Amino acid sequence: MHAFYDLLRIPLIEMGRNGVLPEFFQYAFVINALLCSLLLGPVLGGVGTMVVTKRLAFFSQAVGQAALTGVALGILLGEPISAPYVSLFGFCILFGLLMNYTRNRTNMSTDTVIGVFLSVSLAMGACILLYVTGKVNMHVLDNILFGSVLTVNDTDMNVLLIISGLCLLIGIPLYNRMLLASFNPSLARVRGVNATLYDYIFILMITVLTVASLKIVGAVLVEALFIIPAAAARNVSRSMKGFFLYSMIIATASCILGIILPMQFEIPVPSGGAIILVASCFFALSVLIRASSTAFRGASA
Amino acid sequence: MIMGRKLEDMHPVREEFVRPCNGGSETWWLIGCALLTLTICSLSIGVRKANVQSQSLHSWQLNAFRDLRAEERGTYSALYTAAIEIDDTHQNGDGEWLEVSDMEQDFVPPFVHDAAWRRQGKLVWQRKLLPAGTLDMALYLGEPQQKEISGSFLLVMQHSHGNGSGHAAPSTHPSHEIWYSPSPHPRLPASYTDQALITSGWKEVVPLRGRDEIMRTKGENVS
Amino acid sequence: MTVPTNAMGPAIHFERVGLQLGGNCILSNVDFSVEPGTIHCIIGPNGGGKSSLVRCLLGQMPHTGTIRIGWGTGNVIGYVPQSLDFDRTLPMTVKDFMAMICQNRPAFCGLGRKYGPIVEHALKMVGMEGKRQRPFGALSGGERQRVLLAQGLIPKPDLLVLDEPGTGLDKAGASIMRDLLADLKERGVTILMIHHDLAEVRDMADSVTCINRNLVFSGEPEVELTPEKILNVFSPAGGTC
Repeated sequence: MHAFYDLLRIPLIEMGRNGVLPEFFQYAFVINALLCSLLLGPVLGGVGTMVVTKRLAFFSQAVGQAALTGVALGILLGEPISAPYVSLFGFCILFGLLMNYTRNRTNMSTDTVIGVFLSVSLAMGACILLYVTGKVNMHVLDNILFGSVLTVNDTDMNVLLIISGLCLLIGIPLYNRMLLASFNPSLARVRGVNATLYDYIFILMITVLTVASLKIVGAVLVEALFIIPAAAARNVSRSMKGFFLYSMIIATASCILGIILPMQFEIPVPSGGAIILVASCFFALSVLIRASSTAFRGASA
Repeated sequence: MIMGRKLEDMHPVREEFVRPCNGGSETWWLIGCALLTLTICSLSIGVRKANVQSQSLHSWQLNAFRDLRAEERGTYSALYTAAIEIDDTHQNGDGEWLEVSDMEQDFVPPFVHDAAWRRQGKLVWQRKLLPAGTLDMALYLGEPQQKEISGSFLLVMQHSHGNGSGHAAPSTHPSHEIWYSPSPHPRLPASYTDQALITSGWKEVVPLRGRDEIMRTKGENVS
Repeated sequence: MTVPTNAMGPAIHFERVGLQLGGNCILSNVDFSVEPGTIHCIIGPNGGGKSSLVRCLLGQMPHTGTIRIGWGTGNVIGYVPQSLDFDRTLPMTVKDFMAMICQNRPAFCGLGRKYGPIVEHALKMVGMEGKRQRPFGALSGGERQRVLLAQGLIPKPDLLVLDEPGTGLDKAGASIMRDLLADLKERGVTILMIHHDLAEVRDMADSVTCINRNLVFSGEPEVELTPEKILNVFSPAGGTC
């Protein structure tokens, strides 16, 4: 895999040196981050349309916050600090499964369930973190919380590649059924869609995507990348095709610009923050377009 | 009955008994998946720990014992020790950062012009202070007069004053870092964050710890 | 009466069907049959258990008792639900909605070649073919109901189950529905329908069942739908369990 990545990286590094591309292209981590964006942007944008349609925005935020606890757990269990993937995946998956189960089996509203789980997870995370403070340079937490483009290496790219591939493989054939499951579970069942199962699959998808994107966007802000591009796309599209396409484009553009612009202008902001700010600008633009364009006025019911 | 004949007479009838649904299986599936996840994770963590603990460096970091010349290593070790002293003075005194000339006179390597200094490239040192809000930074830049022998060093001292309220949160930046550049007149960026330094061509020097040295001699370290 | 074609929907037998949910008795001792190829209406007061009974038939409830379906040819169930839980501002057109429900190909790819004409035909049957590109959320209640009706026709059902299909329909919509159901019946489809418009029930249905936790009555509309029985049905006191 390393050889394959180098195949992509080396010509770009050369172009950076020659001045064809901006200076910072000389650095492998920049190219890694951009490659990740090209992969992550479309996937997050696409899955984001489902998150927004199924109204699970708050849910995906809870999973993102759980990542913090997952990292703390990983440090506690002695995992390598810059890549505690095992405990991250493990904890976030268990968290997501349990949250969905509670939502299904109790009479509590989704809001309440998520609120409870979020708080418990954060409390656990805080306790464990304070305990492991002695062992670790707190830099690491900044990286996990807000993303750290500097530390994207081949392992991260491999994880991202595998996860994205899996999500595409599962998400695209099951897209319709997952949406239908949230429109009317009864109807979905009659049509042979096991609504419960697909809900779980979707939750797992969000969870693993969240974990895989931590390095680029950071735990606190990953769900923003699910929601904001999809919300912006929703404002300016009139069919599912447009919705899906614009969401992917906006997400990818936000990632790429969020990585390049701070480097170009030497603004020392974490990549996660920059990406979300760029996405927010797109969102603001979409609101303006929708508000001012007569084409959309009739559609707001 | 349709036209006097029962349905059963007209077509072979397939009877289906509608099965009542019960959600019990969801619980078992959840428990199963949870156990599976826990098992896989425990095994993975166990395997990872048993494996070689490789010291992985980022591309913008240097290993002090492997990537520097012998003379540069001397400067680095001295700088490392000096940094601790500078930090102590800053914390316990009036918050002052030691002047280069003072340290020269007090025979503090690598600032003092002794035989080691002459051998290690005769670096010229200067100090820059950056008090900014709650952040209190001092930079010590050493540029070599003999560029064939040594590159440039930058000691970044950073002390944040935000933690006076007694809670246990540590400062988020280590109190000193040592950066290296192969150029004798390296470019200094406008702001001194990690990212800015890296973009200007500096690399952070990371020391080898005693434990790593032992592992290296035992052949376990694969960095 | 027309000559029965080869296609024939199923007969349904409810035998001592009961339903308990969360300590509450929803249904008790419900016993009736639906003849194949007929339109069978279920009426009753709100909260009387009609929707629950239908969901028992669809296998989505932990019912007691026996529900037997005697399939003739084919075994496709079409279901037209009463409501949908979705975001009105979603940029989903009627076409997208039908694509989402009917085909495997993801909705954002649009209608495929296989299902395009089928969906067109179904929309035409409910009078919505002109509104293909309209956002689904912007439709009126009656128009939405018609689209739901259309999806119940894909794939061609042998048993069509409808939950309050007349909700929100205007005169034109109601007439379209009546024609559609009559047409389906001619093709031998068994139709089971929860309906509240008693005049229409008397008009359309071959048999009617009244459910108010228990079975109140079941039989032919002319016989059962007398004024006294109707008055009793819609009184607040429910049946016993």
